[in-house]
Parts: sequence; C-alpha cells; structure tokens
Amino acid sequence: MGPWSSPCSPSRPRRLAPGRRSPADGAAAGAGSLLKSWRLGPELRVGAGARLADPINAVFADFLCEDEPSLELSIFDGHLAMNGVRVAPCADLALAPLLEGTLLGFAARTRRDCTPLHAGAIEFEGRGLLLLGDKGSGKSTLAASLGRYFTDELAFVEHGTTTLRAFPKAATIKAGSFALFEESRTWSDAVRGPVRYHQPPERADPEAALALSALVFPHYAPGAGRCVELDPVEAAAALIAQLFGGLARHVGAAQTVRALSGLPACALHFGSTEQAAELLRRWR
Amino acid sequence: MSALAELVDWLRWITDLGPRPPGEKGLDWLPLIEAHELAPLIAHRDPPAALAEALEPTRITAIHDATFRTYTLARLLQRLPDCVVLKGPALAHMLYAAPVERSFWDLDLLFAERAAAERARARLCAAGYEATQDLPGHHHLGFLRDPVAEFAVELHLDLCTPGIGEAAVAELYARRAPLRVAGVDTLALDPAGMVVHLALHAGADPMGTPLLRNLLEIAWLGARLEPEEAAWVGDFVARHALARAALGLWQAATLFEVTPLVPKPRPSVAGLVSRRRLLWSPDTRLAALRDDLASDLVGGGGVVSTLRAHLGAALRTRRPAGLLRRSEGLRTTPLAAGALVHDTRTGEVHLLSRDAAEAWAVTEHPVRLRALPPATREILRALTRRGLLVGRN
Repeated sequence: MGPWSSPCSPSRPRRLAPGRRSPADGAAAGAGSLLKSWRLGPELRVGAGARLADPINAVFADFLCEDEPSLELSIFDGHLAMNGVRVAPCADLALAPLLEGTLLGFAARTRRDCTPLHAGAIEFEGRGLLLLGDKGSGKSTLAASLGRYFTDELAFVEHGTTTLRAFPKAATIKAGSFALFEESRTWSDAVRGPVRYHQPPERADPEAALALSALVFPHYAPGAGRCVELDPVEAAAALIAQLFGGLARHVGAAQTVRALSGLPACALHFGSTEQAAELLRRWR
Repeated sequence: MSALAELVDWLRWITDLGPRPPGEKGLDWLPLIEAHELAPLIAHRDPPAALAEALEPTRITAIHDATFRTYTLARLLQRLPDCVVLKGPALAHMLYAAPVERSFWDLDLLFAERAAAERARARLCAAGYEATQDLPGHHHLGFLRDPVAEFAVELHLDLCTPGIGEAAVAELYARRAPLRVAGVDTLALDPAGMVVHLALHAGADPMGTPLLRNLLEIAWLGARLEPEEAAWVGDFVARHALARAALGLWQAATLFEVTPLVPKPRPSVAGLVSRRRLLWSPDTRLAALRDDLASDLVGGGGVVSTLRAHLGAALRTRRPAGLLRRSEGLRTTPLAAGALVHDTRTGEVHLLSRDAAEAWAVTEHPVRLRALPPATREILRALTRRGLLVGRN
C-alpha cells in the first residue's frame, strides 16, 4: 500500500443493503447517523445514509470501509447535503452520476502524491496500458472489457514515474455500449445522457500498483481498425490535455508527463472490443 | 430592451426584489451570465427555456464544485480561529438558498490584528498552501494558494486598498455574527457590514470581480436588512467618508430598483472613473444616472480636469500605456459636459472634461493648433510631452 493507505481494508464484494438504517437520511448529522463510509482519498471518507447507499454502491462499492468518516453525505429535503447542511438540489435518478462526478473531484483535489489524469487503465496480457481520450472515445468500454480493470476515468500516476495506483470505481457505460454489458440500473446524467455502472469481475483492489508500459489513445469508429504509432511529442501534448488541473497543479505533474511520454504510444481506431483486443495484441 | 435590462429584471424576480418579467427571456444573456459568474444561480432557479440546455453542464459542475468547496471551507475554518469570513463563502451560506448557487474559489478572512493573521498563514503553509509575497501597504497579506485543491485564501487586515481606516475596520469587526458552515461554527460580518464591504468592492475594486453579481448581492442583502441595520449602513458610510461604498450602494439601488441606503453620492474623480465600467455600458437603464453623475462632476464650476487627474494618476502608478494613447479599441461617447473614452483593451473608462474632450477630438480630427482654445492646447502639449499622444498637430 502507498502513502494513501487506510487502516481499513476494503474487500469485495461488500455491497450494502439500502435502507438498513431507520432514520431518514439527513435527519441527523451526528456520528450516530452514519451507516457506512467509503474511503476515497487521504482524509476523505464519505459516510452516507440509506438513500445514498444504492448510488454509492453502484459506483464506489470497492471503497467501502468501516472507520469513522470525516465527511457525511446525505439527502435532506430533496438536496444533497454535507454534514447536515444542504448543498444542492438533486433528483434520485441523477444521484449516482452526481456522486460520481462530485467524489472524483474530491479524490483528484485531495491527493498530493500522484498526478491525476483523465484516463483509464488496464493490465492487458501482461502489459500495463493507460487509455487516454475525451468523452465518447471508448476508453471506459475498453477498460471494462479488456484484461484486468484498474480505472476508467481517473488515473493516479505516482509523480515522476510510470506507476499507476488503481482507482477501480465502477466503469461508467454510456448508452451506445449498454448492449455489451449485463443489464443494470440506468441513471440519468444531465451531461452524458443515460449511463449505467459496471463493475468488471476482474479488477484490481484500490491502490494496487500497475507498471504502465504503453499509452493507448482509443477512437471508436466502426469499420476497419488500425493502430497508428504516435511520437513522444504528440503523446506529451495529449497527456497534458488530460491532466486534472494542468501542469501548474503540482511540480510532479510535468515530471509525470515526461516519464509517461517516453512510453510507446498509439492511436487505436476500433469498431468493436474484439477488434481492439486483436489490434493491441499485434501492436509491438 | 437590452440583454442587461432583461437579465436584471430576471435577477430581481428570482431574488424576490421584483415581479416575474413577462415574455420569452434569455436568448442573448449567456455572455453576461458568464462574465458576471451568475450561471450557478440562474441554472438552479428554473432558468428560462432558451437557456436551460446551455446551462445544464454548469449546473452539474456547480454541484460537484460546491460539495468540494463546502468540505474545504469547513476544514479550513476548523483550523483558523479568531477571524471573520468575508464575501463569497459567507454569502453562499447566509444569502443564497444553497451554497451551490454561489461559486467561489477563495476564502477571504478578516483579522483584528496582524499577529492572528500571521498565525493563520503559518497554519495554512503547514497544510500545503503556498504563500506569495506581501505587497507593501496592501489590505491583505500575500495570498495563499493550494494548487492541488485549487483553492486560495486571503488574510485581510483591512477591506480594500487604500484602507478604510482602523476605526472603521474595528467597528465592522465588532459587528461580526455567528455563521454555520457544514457543521462548523464560525463568524462572518453581519449582513449590514457585509453590504458595506460589497459596496466598497463595487465602487472601486481594481480587481476584475464580477460587478453585476456584486451589485445584485448588495441590492438583495440590503433589501433584507432590518430598518436599524439599513440606517447603520448609511450612517457608517457617511461617518467614515466611504465615497467608494456610496457609489456602489447607489449603483446597486439604481440598477435593481431598491431603496437606496445612502443619499445620492457626488463621487470623486477616482471614485467615479474606475475600471468597474458597468455604469458606462450603453444600457439605457443606466444612462440617466451616468449623465447625471458625469454632469455633476464635469459641469460644475472649478472641477478639476479629469484628464489631468488621470494623467497624474497614470504617472504615479507608472502605467501610462493604456491611457489615452490614440489607437484602435477606443470608443468615445459624447456627454453634455464632455466625453467618455472607453478603452476596450484594458476595460478602463476615462471621463473627459469639455476641454479634454476637445483635445481628444483633435487627435481624431486634426485641426490647426492655433485655432484651439488655450486650455485645450495646454493639455495637448502636456500629453505630447509625456508621450501619451502621438498627435498630428
């Protein structure tokens, strides 16, 4: 475990039954109202009441732990509330995506030992692959389908190295890829449209280390697939574009970009996950 | 009706300052909403249909950010005793329906004494905040920033530069009131003190903070004051001769059609001609106030030439480059008693007396120098000597 380790040891599966606690969420904000907490970052443990159990389980089940949270999220009077104080109105159907975005922001903005990138990561046939791309590029679909899953959205890379620390929240699947995964609850995301959450069966524990050996920039496009090699300058530019907070956020971010841009990189044009797997096998 | 006037009417409605405006709204509000950081508020108050889709990403991002900010704020306030919360973080919890409606990415804290501010700075540095150097004579210590959390803190010893004076600060500090932020008990300026601080900002803040939101908050919070609190605001501004605050209060009352908390100000040149240029926008709603104030200033007997005043100010601050250099990006608006020159590159507005306006006209439309009145010639020569005009005469 790295410096981010927690005294609690998450195990899988440990899903929480919703509605186990009798008082309404947010009715009380004290320690007695806590149900369970989710470890998401240093000094960041999120306790949540019954109405939030389903959406948090959907996204962050692997981060469940038992110790005292420093922050309690709840639903109060139709609002997402923190420590009993209303922060923003929210609808039940939108809760999971809302919590996903909120808590990803928390994790990225509280972690000092790693460079956070908007990227997925998998271990595919012995190679650590960092999947970089904008929304809709197919990185979540590939991350959830190929190899061992480490993350689909938020990649923490130790500053100045090519070592990734797993952040295995459930993969966020957009409508175009629903058919590729087992059916699950559909949530409403105001920006991305309908989404589902999929927890790949073969996935790393939170904080597990992965030695990255290549950068892959997926581009979903039906038709003939191909892999196009990228030079280090292109790779560095693309990495910088996917940095949370940019280069100024931490002196280690530039060192991380330098380390990662030295890895082999390719643009992966694919029309199906099978095709992507075959192309990756043949590449190098 | 201009986009600004439409938006102001909508803001009056959603803050209970006025009735719901009729008709389809919002078609061309986006630039104003973005420039004045009003998107989170409007997005969470049933926005006009024409805007709803465009504001949806902002609405969601605002929720993400507000949760993190509330958490960060609560943690910081637990560690920083003996201070008073100012501006956004306090307003988000005392005025708005929910913190998500008011964005802020820094925390401004007022301290009664420098030693307490220094102790706070040491604690923040130990928690990962990076301190910048103090600016001599500035009203707050060098700001502190946590680049990972993307959050900044300013530790204030006064409310603006130049300051309002120790006695005024002490009086405001003494009126501090309890505020609860995400379960943490802290202190903020009381609503009346908050109105004064906001008005100081609106009147002459050199920083580019969003003026329309600033004025809305003055009008909104001011309208909620108890009669004795409202009376205290007027009295405080008068006793401490806070001309900048008076101008901010008057602008807010004019724009949002609420009862003014101070008598109509007669601002100084420095107070009136600031970078806070909303007053000088082409909006007709403000035209009467603008002309009225300008006439008082320019048309009155013995008024100092504002052009000369600006020249002096520019030389004192060693930034003459943006001042009245004839180039593209300058727009002139004639007034009864002179002219306005708006430098669209810097955002500065210069109010010209009649003489100065004539001098300006010369630079646009060459005439024979000898045909000009002596005062105009004198100004032109002064400007040319100082390299501020490249005249053709």
